[in-house]
Amino acid sequence: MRPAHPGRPLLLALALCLGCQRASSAAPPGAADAPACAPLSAAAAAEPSQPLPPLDLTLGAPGEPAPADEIAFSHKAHAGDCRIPCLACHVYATTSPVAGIPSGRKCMGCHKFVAKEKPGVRILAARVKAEQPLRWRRVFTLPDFIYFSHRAHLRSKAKLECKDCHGDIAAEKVVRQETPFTMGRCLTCHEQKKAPRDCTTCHR
Amino acid sequence: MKLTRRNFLGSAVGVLGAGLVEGCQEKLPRYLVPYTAPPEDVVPGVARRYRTVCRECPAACGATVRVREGRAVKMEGSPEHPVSHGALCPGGQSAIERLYAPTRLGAPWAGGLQIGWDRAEAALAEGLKRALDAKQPVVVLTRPERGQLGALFGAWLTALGQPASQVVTFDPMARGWLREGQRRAFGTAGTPVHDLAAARLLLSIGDDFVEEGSPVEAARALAAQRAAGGRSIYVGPRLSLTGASADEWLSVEPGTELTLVLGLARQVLELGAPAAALPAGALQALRGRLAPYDAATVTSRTRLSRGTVAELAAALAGARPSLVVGPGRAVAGGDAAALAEAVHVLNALLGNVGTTVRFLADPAGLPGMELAEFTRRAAAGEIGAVILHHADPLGYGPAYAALGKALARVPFVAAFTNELDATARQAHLVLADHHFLETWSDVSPRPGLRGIQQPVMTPVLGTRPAADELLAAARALGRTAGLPEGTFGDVVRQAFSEQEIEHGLKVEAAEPLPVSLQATALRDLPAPAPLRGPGMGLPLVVAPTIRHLDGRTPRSALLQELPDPLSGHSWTGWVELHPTTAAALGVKASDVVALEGPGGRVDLPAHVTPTVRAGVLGVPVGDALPLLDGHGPIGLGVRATAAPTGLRRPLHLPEAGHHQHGHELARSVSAASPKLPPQEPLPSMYPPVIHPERRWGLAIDLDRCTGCGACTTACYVENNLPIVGPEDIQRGRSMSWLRIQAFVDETPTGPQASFLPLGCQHCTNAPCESVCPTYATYHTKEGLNAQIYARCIGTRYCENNCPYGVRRFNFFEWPRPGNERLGLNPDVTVRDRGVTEKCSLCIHRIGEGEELARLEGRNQLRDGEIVSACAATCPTKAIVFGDLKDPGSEISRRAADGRAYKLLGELNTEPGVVYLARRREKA
Repeated sequence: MRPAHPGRPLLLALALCLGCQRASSAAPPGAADAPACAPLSAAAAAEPSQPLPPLDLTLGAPGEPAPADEIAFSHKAHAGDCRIPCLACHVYATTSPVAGIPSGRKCMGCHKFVAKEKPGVRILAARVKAEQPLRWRRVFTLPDFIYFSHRAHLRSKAKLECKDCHGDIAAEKVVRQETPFTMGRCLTCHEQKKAPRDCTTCHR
Repeated sequence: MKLTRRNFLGSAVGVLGAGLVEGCQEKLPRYLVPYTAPPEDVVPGVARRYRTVCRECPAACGATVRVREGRAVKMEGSPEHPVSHGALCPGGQSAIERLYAPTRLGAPWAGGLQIGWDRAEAALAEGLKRALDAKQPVVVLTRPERGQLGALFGAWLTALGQPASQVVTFDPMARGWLREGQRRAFGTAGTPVHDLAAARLLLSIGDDFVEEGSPVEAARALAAQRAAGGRSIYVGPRLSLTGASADEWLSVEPGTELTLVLGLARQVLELGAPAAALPAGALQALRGRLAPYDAATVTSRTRLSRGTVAELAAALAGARPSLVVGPGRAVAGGDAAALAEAVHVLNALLGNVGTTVRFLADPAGLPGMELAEFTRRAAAGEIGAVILHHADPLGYGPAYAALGKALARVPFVAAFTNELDATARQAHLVLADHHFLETWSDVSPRPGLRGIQQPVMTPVLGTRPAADELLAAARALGRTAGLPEGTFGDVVRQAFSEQEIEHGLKVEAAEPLPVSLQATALRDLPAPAPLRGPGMGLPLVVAPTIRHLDGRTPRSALLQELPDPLSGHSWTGWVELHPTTAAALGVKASDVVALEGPGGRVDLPAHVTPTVRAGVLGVPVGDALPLLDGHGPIGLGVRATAAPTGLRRPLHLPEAGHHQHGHELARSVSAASPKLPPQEPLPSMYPPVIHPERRWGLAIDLDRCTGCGACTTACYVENNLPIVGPEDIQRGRSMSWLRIQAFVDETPTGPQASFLPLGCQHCTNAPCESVCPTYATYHTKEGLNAQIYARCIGTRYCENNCPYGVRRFNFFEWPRPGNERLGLNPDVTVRDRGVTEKCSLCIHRIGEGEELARLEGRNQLRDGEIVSACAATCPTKAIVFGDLKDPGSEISRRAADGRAYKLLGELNTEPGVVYLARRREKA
């Protein structure tokens, strides 16, 4: 074996660094293989009448994987089987840079009547009743130095749809990011659709 | 395991690798947390704006607060408000920083320990009960509260069975001599309103209205006055911002301002232009009283050059209308009230009363207890309990030492405050009050105008509003007669209509007060009052500065970091010495000088400058407090000795120094023919740069700039600029994107100060772009010199190649203590360590404006639709943002002006920032 070369630590570190970046842009660990209908946490098995312990909403240490969602929410069931349009829940997408996550109260608008006995819905009902916030694992992320506007994309002349970037969410029981949001991907589309390709469009 | 060279290296690799991996982790939240119940009118990602009132100083500018996701991120002026007209001063711009400051109190304190609100409320009620049981008076010692809160204090005292007059207003910076002089001259107690903008000639007797009083309103009026061709003259021992904005600075012997004003009055009378309808007898009496102030006497006392007084009097008499204002703090000595009286008489003789000086009747108010009486009674042990409300007498040095001693004799002192200030430290109970952006109130800056202060967000910390705590204490004591049943917020809300609250103000009729000169005016002129303090000492000029307004604002980190516009110093006090004074004392710049006045001693580094009169000491108001003795108002009243200590405290010099060295950076033109020689287009080796649609830029009119620094402060808050602290400022690591470069140049007529707001020039042929190895900085199609942080690898080549010295390098990841992260503007990237940054021309605002226009289906933008943060807050509209390609825009009009020039135009950088030369009488 050759003696350690001074360049090796750096190379190794670079490999590790790239590895972690890839990990962060793909789906969080465990997201793909979690069974959709099985109760995911102890809280799910608890009686809904019992108060649920409040969720830890802290940022956590960098790189630490987020705990699983306590409600096994399925986009397939909602957007796929029930054909609920994306904008019905992500209401801000056409008016704001962010699409928004529906509030628990919004979920209860339907679930007061629908699928009341499902374990996930029982957790939801308990949280909403206790006025506790829900907590969802983040799947799609962009670095914080990027400005992205949902409304600019959805209301552009290019007539973009959610699935153009997010993939076929309606077919996924558990959402995962199939293709990473890289600058190359953004720019390819911007080039095809003759959208602005100025750096400052996104980097501000 | 045996440690060999090989496995040592192996483990070292592992450790290093782990460190690097740690370094490149994304710090994004791992969760998405939706609202439990979405607020109806909140759209995440879209800012909401609320009107309220700025309470950083008593000027009470109307403000608009931008709120993102429930957190206030920026404060602007309210365009509808007659005081602010859409602008704010540096103090107002820094309010957001104070809202999230790590020094803010988040919970009540007692006995040096944090306690819960239950205990605090019980302690408050208990303390009050003891005082009431002992039949001793309860007193409220408050900052000026001209609104319903002031009335509530009275009602609360009444409910406790106390006289409502036991409200003491603590206003150490009140310029009481102005009211006293007005009473002597006119015999009335109305509120004077000056129309600066209408005056053809404005004479300021040491009145630093750009710094003190209502700075935004006054600066705007001054700019309007100059634009209309008016002249202004400043009389005072020190060239302040107000003096620098004036056309002429007359430096008179300190203490002789009264002689000057009386001499002017005599000459105006002699010129036979008494426009005031004075009774003949009164006129005769006045002539007699003014007789001793002939030109020779005035010239010899004031040491003005011969003929100056006559010229000035003739100019005043010839200008219709004119205006004399003052006296300000810098000249307010023992004869301040007489000086104020003389100023009023001069205005009356010039016929300005009723035109540029009007008086409004004061609304009926409750008579309060005088501070002196309170101090006497408290010292005698007669006061049972004191409620302090944002009053910090101990923070004002030895001048209020007697009040501090008296407070120590009060059995129960409870302090409502935002920070643990000097007085709160001595209190038995400290109650953490809401910030003004978190609570309801109202304030009336002058008769006829009421600003409505509404909460723009839920409180950051576990604070509670002072008024509601007082009401709760009254309820706990069972004494609620006459008090509102709900919260104080309900009371305020009920007093105004929905519409008034939405606009943040209510305008009522203000009764004009007819005044006429008293026959007794100028009858009892005092003998010149000697200055107190060591006989060998030099007169101490207490200088108000715009950063700390009149010294009232507790110093926030942002305002400390902001360099003083004239001296360029931050994070330190200083003493201004004229070069001849410094030479006589054997002091060089940055030498620490020991100053000793009647109040005590303070050591300050010397700032040697010709902008202060020889033979006086100029000290900013906050730093001068330890020298004052409290036997007069905070002003020109004392002498202080100055002696070198042999120590040095280097004062950071502004980037370009204080001199232009003959380079015409801040240019002037003669007022008679305001035109610069045209700049010939220079040949270029580069292909021409084409801006297809727009070319964003700034036009900065140096004729309007007062150097207040509101733009710099606004830029800090808008663009998430870090506060680096005193050590790094000394190392020249200030991160400000926009600085006020002040130059003081010696001219034959004396020192001349000019201000140059200097940020990135957004050059078409930018020297920084061609040297960047990573294409991190480049020229956009809209004319911006963009900086892409993600591409920047920190070579700093750009910084070296920038001829304007406006690029900044992040040496560190700067700390944001406390809740300061909450105040970050989410639209602007927080830069990492190791990248260069500079003015982006508020690219996020441009992007948002363009995006909104596109959503409306427009490609054209209206002029003024997008405004950069610096332009938005400029009180004088010296800075204008716009599209240089739009021929109808204000910026294009300015760029076509004869005074327009490009900074360092000979370098052919073709900047997007246009400067307009200042008009001077002697350019």
